[in-house]
Amino acid sequence: MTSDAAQTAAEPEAAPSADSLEELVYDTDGRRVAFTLDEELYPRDAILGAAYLFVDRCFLFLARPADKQVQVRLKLKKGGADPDALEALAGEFANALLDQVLRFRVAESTGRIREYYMARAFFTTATQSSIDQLLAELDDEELEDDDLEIEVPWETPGATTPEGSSG
Amino acid sequence: MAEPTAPTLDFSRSLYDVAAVEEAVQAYAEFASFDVDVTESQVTVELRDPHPDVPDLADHFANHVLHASVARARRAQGDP
Repeated sequence: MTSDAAQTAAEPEAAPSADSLEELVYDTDGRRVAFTLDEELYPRDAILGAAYLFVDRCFLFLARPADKQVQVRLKLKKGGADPDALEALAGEFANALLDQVLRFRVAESTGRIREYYMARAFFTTATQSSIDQLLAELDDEELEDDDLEIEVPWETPGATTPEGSSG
Repeated sequence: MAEPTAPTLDFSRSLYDVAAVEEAVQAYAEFASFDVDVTESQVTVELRDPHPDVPDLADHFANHVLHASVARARRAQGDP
């Protein structure tokens, strides 16, 4: 990856920008592509998430050339030098990366409210009390007079209970 | 003819899990010998005597480490 270092050295002090992905740097053999991402723009978990999605499609290696920077190296698994395939692969990785960044940001911004809902669902007594209320209503109905006057033997005064009759 | 140099991989500990490296070393033990050196910031793995019938062994090994690292991180975060 000597050529990567040489080419990226042209702009060593470049401030992180949203178009960092345009700075894709190809190495000499045409089978690999490498680019450096700024963690301020692309959180580490998003980079790892995108890389995870590509493990079955290409060889990946992550390096940390500097603090808050992650270098991603993609290498074709099959075939020889194919710049078109490499460019397509890098583009797809960039798209996946943006997708992961969005998911990360949404998860981050909605994390508190999701935790709140989960806590409320697990620890509130509202559901339990409604079940108790239903059971209480059923008990009340059973205690009312039976309109059809169907007697249950063990509820007849003086009758033996099933337990008593069996024992 | 000069001996081919053994591939060496430097895994940054801020990106890769040490346990994942060890897991990969065990998984690939039959294909090469591995020298692992763990420092505060990185894990250096030197592959020796790679199996001649397995091309891109170092790349496969690195992918395995990456996969295991992400899987472990997600399990630690509570993902199934």
